Amino acid sequence: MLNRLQSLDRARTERLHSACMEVLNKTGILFNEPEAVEIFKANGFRVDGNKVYFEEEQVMNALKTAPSEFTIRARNPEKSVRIGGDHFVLSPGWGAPFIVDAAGDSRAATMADADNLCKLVQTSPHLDMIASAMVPPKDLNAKTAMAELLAACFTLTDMPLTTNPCSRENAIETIEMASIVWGSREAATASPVSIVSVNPTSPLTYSPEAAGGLIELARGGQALLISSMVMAGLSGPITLAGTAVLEMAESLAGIVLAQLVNPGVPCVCGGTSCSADLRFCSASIGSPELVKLMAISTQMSRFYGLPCRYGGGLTDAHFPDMQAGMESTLNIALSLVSGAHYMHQACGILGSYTEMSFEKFVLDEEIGGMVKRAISPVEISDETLALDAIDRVGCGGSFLMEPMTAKRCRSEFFMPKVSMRETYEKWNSNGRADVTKAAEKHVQDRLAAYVKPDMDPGIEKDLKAYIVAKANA
Amino acid sequence: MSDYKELLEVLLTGDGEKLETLVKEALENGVAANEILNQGLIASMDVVGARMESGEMFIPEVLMSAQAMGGAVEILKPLLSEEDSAVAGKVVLGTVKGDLHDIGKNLVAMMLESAGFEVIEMGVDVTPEKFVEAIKDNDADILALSALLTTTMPMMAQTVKTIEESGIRDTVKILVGGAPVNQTFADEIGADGYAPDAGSASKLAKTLLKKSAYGSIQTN
Repeated sequence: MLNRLQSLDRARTERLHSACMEVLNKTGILFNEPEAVEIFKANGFRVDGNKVYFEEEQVMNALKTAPSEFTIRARNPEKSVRIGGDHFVLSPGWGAPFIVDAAGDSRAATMADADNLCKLVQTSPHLDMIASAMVPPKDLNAKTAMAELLAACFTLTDMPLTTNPCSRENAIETIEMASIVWGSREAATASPVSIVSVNPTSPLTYSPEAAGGLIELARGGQALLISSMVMAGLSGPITLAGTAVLEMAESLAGIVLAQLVNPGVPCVCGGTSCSADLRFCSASIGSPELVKLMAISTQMSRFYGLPCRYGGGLTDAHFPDMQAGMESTLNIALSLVSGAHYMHQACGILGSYTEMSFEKFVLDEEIGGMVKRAISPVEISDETLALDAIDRVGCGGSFLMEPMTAKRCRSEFFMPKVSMRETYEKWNSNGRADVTKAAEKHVQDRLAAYVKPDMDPGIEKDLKAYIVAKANA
Repeated sequence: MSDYKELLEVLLTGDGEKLETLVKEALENGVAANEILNQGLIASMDVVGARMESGEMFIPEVLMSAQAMGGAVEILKPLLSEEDSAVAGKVVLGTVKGDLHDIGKNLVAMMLESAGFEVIEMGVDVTPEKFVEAIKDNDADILALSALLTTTMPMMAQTVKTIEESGIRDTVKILVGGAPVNQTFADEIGADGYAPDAGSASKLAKTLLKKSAYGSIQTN
């Protein structure tokens, strides 16, 4: 099959692998967390201070226990998801402190925004997961912020959870709150009820927060997404081959640690590495370089037998305009085509991760829906080949009156919620409104249509009590 | 008065060796060290700053120019009088507690130094108390704070608060920067200024010190 996207043959794959092993073995990885260093030492790894060095055999042995696919349970069992193999998920944008509204004005995000984003996810036809802290609100108490955002995910949606703890304490909160929701620690940790993003600091460093959180969550049996954002030219070499190797080495080092802590704990590797725009020293997440790095990463993940994280509704634009659409579509489409299994940041992101837009959220969602539809296999059967109809209509007729057309007209094709397909006259008479206007209205409709999923009032009460206890601690 | 056109060209290419040769030649021809510094190097570096801001020069190229400039200044230093080598101001610079990111901050340091400031580099993950100590110890004019993480932005506010509580707030101007930071945030936490990039940071630093020296607003 012809694939023009950075197709790696065996020789190039092995060259990248051996480069990655050389970095892990020769340069090593800095773990600024004593417990991590102790775990490596106890398992026979070469350690010098906080620097850990890996033998190829040690890495490959640890990877043997990491599953190539796994399930994350949702509160609503019908919404549980499988990640890896042929299965992939879309998870919403995460971590943007500002909201850019439909007029292009920017303001700090609030808890009301965070709640509304949960409602958009719950009513989404295309998203598979909820994420905590899609926007970190300014109006929260730092002591309870993460717990409040987690509580919003648990109560306002019944979907499987993505979370991104900033410390060991946040990791413990995730497990304690999941234990409330699932009834006990045993129930919440028997198999994953969340996937947790852990980010090394490139180049080649794990902060105490990242390593501490990783250890805690591996122990708690939660799935781990261990991925780097290496910026080629800044936190990685300007050459993409070198940056790809750095990203992989960082990701694998964390996955090895997770497997040492809890063999078999599900791990996703990969990244969201990109080029830097060296006119400004800023990340360019809408760049074709991100796509090149993605294509390498998805192939290397398959080589290691691990599910891969990459892609998203990523753009450097500050408004849901044509640039945002171009860059986000490029990223979402090619990542899913290339076999990414987990798409963090699938919708809503503007301004290289710094801004969230409700309008772009639903537009990206639609891109995701379109790509999902485009890559789903065309059914080839007696009915869908429609040879009878072709013969009946013959040369020069129309299929509009065929019964099958009426039967399938609502389901056979992707039906956009936001994109317009009407005539110029209709568009002109509607004030030449662009797609952002339609998206603004769609957001309002969705929020109006939102219904809170059922939850045992006792659980909700316990979650509230947990937050109060945190505030008073 | 010399013609610094060639010096500017060489500085723009970032060729340190050639720049040092030019500086030595100028000295041999009897040009005063302070004139080479001010009219030659600093004036040329202003052009570099302007080209960085306009996007004509890429930052790695700017860094090569700044590095070349540093080498040339080393030659001039012993020949400068105390008055000539007086710094434009002293800046305490660091990334706030909880944040380990330093690429942007290092760039700011480089631009400040090229503009004639003395930079007291505090590194990353710096506590508010350490900043206070450094401002006092160095009699700093400016405190420049960096944060990349949205989660460490509140630490910027905390740092400003600690400086207020320590009673030295009116001795120092506070600048903030970093990807998630903006002017509104700077105003909210009571900083004196926000700069979106390294070039504007050094310009803003100069403007702020002018303002405080003359007690009135001067714009560039």
